Amino acid sequence: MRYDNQANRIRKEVLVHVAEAFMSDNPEDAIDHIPIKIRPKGGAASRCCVYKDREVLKYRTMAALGFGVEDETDELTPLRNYFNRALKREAVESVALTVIDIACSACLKSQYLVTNACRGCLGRACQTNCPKDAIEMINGRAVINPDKCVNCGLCMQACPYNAVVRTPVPCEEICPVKAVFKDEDGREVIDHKKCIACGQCARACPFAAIQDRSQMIDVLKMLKSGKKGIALLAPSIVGQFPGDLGRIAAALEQLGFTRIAEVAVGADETVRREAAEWKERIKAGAPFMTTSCCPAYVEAVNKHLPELEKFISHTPSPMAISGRMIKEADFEAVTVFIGPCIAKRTEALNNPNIDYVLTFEELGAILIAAGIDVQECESKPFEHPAQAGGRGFAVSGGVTGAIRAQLAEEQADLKPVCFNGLDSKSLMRLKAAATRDGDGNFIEVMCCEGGCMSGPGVLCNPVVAGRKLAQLLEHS
Amino acid sequence: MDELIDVEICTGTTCFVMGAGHLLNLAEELPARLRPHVNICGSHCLGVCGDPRNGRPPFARVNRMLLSNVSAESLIEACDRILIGSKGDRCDAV
Ligand code: FES
Repeated sequence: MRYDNQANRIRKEVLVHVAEAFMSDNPEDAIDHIPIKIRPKGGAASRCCVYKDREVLKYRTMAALGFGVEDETDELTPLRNYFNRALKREAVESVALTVIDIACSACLKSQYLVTNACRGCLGRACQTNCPKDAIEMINGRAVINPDKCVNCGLCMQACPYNAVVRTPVPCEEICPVKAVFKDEDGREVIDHKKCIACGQCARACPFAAIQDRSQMIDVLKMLKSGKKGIALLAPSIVGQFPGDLGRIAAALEQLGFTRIAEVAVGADETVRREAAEWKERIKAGAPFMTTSCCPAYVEAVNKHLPELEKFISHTPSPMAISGRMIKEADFEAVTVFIGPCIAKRTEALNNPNIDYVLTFEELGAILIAAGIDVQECESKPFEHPAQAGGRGFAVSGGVTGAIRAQLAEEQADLKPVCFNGLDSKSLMRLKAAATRDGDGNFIEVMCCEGGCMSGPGVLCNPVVAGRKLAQLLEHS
Repeated sequence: MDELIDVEICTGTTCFVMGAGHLLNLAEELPARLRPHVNICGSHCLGVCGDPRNGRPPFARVNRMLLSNVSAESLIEACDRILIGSKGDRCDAV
């Protein structure tokens, strides 16, 4: 899936403005002006007028400050109040995705439509093929009766003029757990009891009406206060910024981080423990074990596939292990996980060793605001560089590869299966694995197709990033 | 047309973050009609991101002409236009 479009750019633009405002001499004033700055009077509008655009931008700014639309009790509350509340916040309060209802275009319910390319032909393949008799001819053109239509799509396949189209609802369609649905007005709402926080809907919406809540302000405040900020870089950092890992580390140091660590070091430890755990479990007669590093998958099991729970590895995720190593060595450390993932925010909220989570997008916005060009930074080697196994966690198949290498002689017994991306179909297959004997005894699950390098917070084309990772692994 | 069209995509941090990172595979995504005529390369910060009057990042230069808020589609269109100009014909006919 491609995450780069104008809707997603506007979201990033707001992040940059918020970071810039924080660094300016008069942050309150700058925050209040963001909607006006992005959509000035007389300028072009992307909706009906700049005023509606500004209203949407207000909610985007709130999300960039860590608040959801739900947090608004009085529409007249100026943005600076939210900014000040964000500054006072001691810890992250909520990570739930929020729907900007006025930005939601209330897309038509997913359906098949006959367009005006219909010629009302004699053949009427649509009518003949419809199993529900749902197609009528009105004024010389085929019309689908929505009361009879069961969305099978046979008419679309049958029409020789390609006159039948299907209009999807992008956010609903991409949600692997059916947590996004319409309210009475046709606008989308998220059922947080079902949501696994994977963030796919937020990137799929062509109106960027679903927003994640940023923790950027919390991190900026922490760095400014002179606390010991430790940046934990996810393995998928490779290729996300111009320049090598060392330059990215140097840029982070310029931002005020005391230490920069690779989460891939934690992943190396995950590999050791997970391989040992797998051996034990299989010896004890378990049919299989699944990975535990993808937080959206773990959440999907907790909320939707309880029968799989006992098969998930108990080995902590690379982020958890890295956070623990840092906190154990220095209790004053404030840990900031920087990755491509929105679901990691949920994992971190329940883990005392991770204080904040930033996406690559948010880090990018901070770097832009601070005027730091990664390419111009002097490359700085890591104190403890990770190994190839841990670094490989960034792509689908990476965990399996590392476990296989770790098992050495016993690898012949390993029968891996990789779930590369979660959707409703793969969830069904996973469910089946829990009850019936599947083909594999080691199941790797990645919610994002392609793995973390295709996560919702990435900045680099996954193909290019994957190539860079492959190069790096040769030298790890 | 003998000379290649030069497409220089800025990969300074601002442009990279705002969308150029997703354009790094453009050479492979080009339609076949353009491939023999276009040379794509990356560039350090073009130095125009600091002034909003230049437009919004990401920036690119196509035959030295500065374009703002570029996407795969807009770059392909710019190349097509240059090709049409040199042939006086529609790009599909090239
Ligand atoms: S980063 Fe592209 S012009 Fe500066």
